[in-house]
Amino acid sequence: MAGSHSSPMPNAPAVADALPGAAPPRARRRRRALPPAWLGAASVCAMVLAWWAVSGGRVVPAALLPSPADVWAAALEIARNGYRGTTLWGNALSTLGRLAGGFGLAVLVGVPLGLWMGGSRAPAAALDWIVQFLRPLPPLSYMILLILWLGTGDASKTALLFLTAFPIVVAASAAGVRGVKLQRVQAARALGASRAQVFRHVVLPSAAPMVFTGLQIALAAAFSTVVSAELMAATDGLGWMVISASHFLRNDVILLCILVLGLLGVGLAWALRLLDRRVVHWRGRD
Amino acid sequence: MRRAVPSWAITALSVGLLLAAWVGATSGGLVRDLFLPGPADLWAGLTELVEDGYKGRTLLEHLGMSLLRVGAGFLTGALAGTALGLAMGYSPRLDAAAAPFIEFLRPLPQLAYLVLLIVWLGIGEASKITMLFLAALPVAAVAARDGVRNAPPERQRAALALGASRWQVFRHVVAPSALPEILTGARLALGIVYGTLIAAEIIAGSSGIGWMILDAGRFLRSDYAFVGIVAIGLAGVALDRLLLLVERRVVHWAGR
Repeated sequence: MAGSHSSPMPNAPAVADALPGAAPPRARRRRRALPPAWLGAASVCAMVLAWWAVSGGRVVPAALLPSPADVWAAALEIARNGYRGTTLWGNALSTLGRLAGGFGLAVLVGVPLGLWMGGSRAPAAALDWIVQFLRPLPPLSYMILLILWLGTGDASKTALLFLTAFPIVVAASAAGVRGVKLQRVQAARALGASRAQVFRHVVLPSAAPMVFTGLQIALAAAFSTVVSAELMAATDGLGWMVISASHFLRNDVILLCILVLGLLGVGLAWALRLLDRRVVHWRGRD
Repeated sequence: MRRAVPSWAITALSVGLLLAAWVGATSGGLVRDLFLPGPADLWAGLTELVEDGYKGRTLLEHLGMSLLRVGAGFLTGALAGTALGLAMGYSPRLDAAAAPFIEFLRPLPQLAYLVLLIVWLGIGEASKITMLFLAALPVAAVAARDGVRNAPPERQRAALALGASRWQVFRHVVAPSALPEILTGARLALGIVYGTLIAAEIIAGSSGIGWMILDAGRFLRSDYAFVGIVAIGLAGVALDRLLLLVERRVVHWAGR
């Protein structure tokens, strides 16, 4: 067992990253005046101060770049009176609802299909070319066809998000199954495990980290796509709010939406990483 | 293992079935050509687009304009992002200071800030290329930072102990081990930039292949839209293969 796999060297940087106390030697040589977490907060504060200094008519016209105070005032006003009959929460929820619908459907269909395609030859041969054709295609390019076929309502958006996430999920799930070590499957079979038991106890745990990586990539892609789709054709959602605010030159509302979208994106990525760590806690310990 | 039917036969059968369904549905009058053009319509559309063009520009000219934008945004964004990421990999302080912005920018839907960029820079090329720059930057920065961080510290220490200068360590130890990751990041960034540009041309464009599809769709010329979509898919695959080729030539030592 002294092969290259059991050598600790390839994993050394990952281990050093995971342990907060074990800083890499380069960093240790220099003495740190501030812990990096503070430095991050300080740089965000500096950015906000710089924004404050140049905005609001001091350097840049207020119509082009509203100040943080303007954006805050817009946030309060929208919280109190809403924005053109909708609320910020309502719009965020409709964006997230669309995302959940399209992405959820892609997970429900894509993961089992991908696992099946990874495990047996016939479905892979029959369907892989469709996945390979869809994967590099920018989703917005076929949005107009989906609108033509399904109308401008939520059906075309759900289909678009499904088609965005589906090929990524399928490809990752299939690759996860194909990456399972053959020796493990053979060992389990030799010890008398049934096909179902091999799948449940050997294939699924080995493929799960790859599947989860695919889910994270697919969710990020779907999030970007849902906002683009809402910019194009929607009557609610954060993307609609951005494009509607731009028609009325409400740059404060646009900035507010961008901040909310950025935080949502960070939050979604963080939530999926947390789920990843809880569900596939054996990742990387192969 | 039974080997009754070879894989290529199953693939061929599946492609054939789908093609047959397409031909059957379109020629049998099951679907109107407005929704799904048949093979003959598609071919006619392709020759028209290549020879006469769509609204003043041929298919290749539209595609070329899109690729120029992709090239400008990708090159500037990937270069700036790689430089920033290398510096972040070396300096934990810079990393801590820049990370919040990179992490915020990375998952942010690019089209959301395009609207703001259009207000600031106008509807022309500047706003689109700035958006593509901002789309490529965080992806390239994260790849370069992780590449530097994952450079084996033993080798760096060995080189330093043997009397190498910091620049020599970077040139001969850190750069070669970070380069594969940087180029993988570049491929990822190119894919994102390409997809984003198509979306941007659809939302706010007056030329380019993305705009052509949307405009054709609005006038219910779904044959043009189909040809455009296939062209976008093929160009996307070609771009990715091109970068893969560069990757294989430049970092032929990757994985060893």
